[in-house]
Amino acid sequence: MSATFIAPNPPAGPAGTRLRSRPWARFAVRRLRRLLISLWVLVTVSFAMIHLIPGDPVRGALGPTAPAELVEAQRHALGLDDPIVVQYLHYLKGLATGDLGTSLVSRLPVADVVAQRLPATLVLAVLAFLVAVAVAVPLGVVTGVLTRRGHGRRTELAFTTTSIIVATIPDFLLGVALVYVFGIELGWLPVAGNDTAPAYVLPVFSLAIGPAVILARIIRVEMVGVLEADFVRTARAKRLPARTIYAGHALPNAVTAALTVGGLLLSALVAGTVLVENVFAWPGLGSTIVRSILTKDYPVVQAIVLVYGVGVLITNLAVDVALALLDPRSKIRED
Amino acid sequence: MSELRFDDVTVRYGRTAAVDGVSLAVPPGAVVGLVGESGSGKSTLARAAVGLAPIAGGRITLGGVPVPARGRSRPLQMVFQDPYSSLDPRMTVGASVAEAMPPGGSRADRRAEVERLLELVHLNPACAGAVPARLSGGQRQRVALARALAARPRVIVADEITSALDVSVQGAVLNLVRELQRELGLSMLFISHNLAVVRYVASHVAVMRRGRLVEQGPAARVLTEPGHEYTRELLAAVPGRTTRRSRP
Repeated sequence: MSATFIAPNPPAGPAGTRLRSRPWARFAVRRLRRLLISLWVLVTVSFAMIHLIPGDPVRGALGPTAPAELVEAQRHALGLDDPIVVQYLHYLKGLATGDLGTSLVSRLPVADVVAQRLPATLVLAVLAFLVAVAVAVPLGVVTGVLTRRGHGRRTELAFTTTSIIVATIPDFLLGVALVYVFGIELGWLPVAGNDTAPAYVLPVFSLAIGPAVILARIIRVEMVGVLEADFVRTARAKRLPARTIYAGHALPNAVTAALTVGGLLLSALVAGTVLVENVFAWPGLGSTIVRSILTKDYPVVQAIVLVYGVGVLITNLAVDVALALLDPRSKIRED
Repeated sequence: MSELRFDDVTVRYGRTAAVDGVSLAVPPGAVVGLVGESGSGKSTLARAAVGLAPIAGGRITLGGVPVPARGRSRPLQMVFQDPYSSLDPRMTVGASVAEAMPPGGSRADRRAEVERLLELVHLNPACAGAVPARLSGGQRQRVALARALAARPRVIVADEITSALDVSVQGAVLNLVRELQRELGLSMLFISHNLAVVRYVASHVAVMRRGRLVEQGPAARVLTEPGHEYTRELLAAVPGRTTRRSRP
């Protein structure tokens, strides 16, 4: 037999620059550029926020009866009497050195307030995301398998109807309903705080259920499509066991396609903590930002908006990297 | 080596008989070409052989024993038409080939077998680590052949394996099929709508129309002196070819 071998297609041509021949480096530079631009927009918007509020924010925070000297001293302390460009540069310098200003109400450094409250919010968001994925993947896969090729019409109708109803309930409303049923009527679970493990159940579930059913619907649709794909037919022709066909071939392909939406849901989930934390008196950034808005503690509001924005940007970056790693058609896998 | 036999096989989709009482034999070591227009039932017959289409009547045997419709036994392997979609895009070529191999053996043995199979279909063993997206259509179809051979089948069913490829690549894949058949003594049911392709690889030819077998016999006879009007029509439809009319 002839020994002529056919090699796979070569990656990027040798004539390109060093960067062009390194898809990962190219990807990192492109993604970092987008991240920096988004970050700059976010920082600028959070800076502008304090100037877009009608009236004088310091007067608003100290109240109408506060002496004019005190208001002026506070304005000077916050640097609000400087030219706007100087204020912006001070703001950027402060961010670079970790100085987020001082709370108008507690007089504590805002960075300390954020550091104290951030872990509780992160734990809530991460747990809710894990629960959402743990519920959505098996639910989407099983309903996808049961409703493939037009089978299980009743199952499909029941699933799609129930899931759309559940998905349209706002998470804070779901939280109130869960508090009423499991906290007040049945008395099974605590309704506030995060001191004990059972206290996590209601906030995590009220935040996770909506994204879980949306993700399950997407995974079901992807599974139905993937199960019709030619490579699954090849797997059946190989006489592979059902679990290998579903878990080894169908699921990874279905999940890759669902990852983009999963990332968007995670971003929405981070923002959803604001309302859920207030329903359950959760000691995180969400409850702090609402309290700060009510007390007109603008430096704190400004910093928390920034933290939430950075959280969403990091989530999007993580999803982009995950997609690049998992999608076999990704160009950056060529090397 | 064993003979693959279809005895009065019927496959129905609802009230439609996609395959209607077909009897056909693939002798050991022979390549039987199955031809017919689109929708004639040839691919359905092939799928019935590997358990992908339910049989409503008749039986399919290999060496006198019914071919199992379920279970891990893999005496028949199929190579599909579209090499761009028949391989799992997330799985490396090596994993795809190894997955079809019978269980057992050490990891090193399985890797060596994958490399041997890739060399057999004229692919660089370095391809084992690549995902299908990095391969051309012809290369992917070679992987599909290696994948089918990995299961150590007694018969290979090739369903329009060149029709999704460029003409120049088709020739290379057909040469490979002939080479493998000659060297390994493979039995093969080779399905195509292209009579020129079938003439090149098959020793026997069967012609299907509307789910029924209308003619079969040695390729030299069927393609030069067709006994059925439909076969003559098929041959007349080949561009640049004149058909010798069979004597009455």
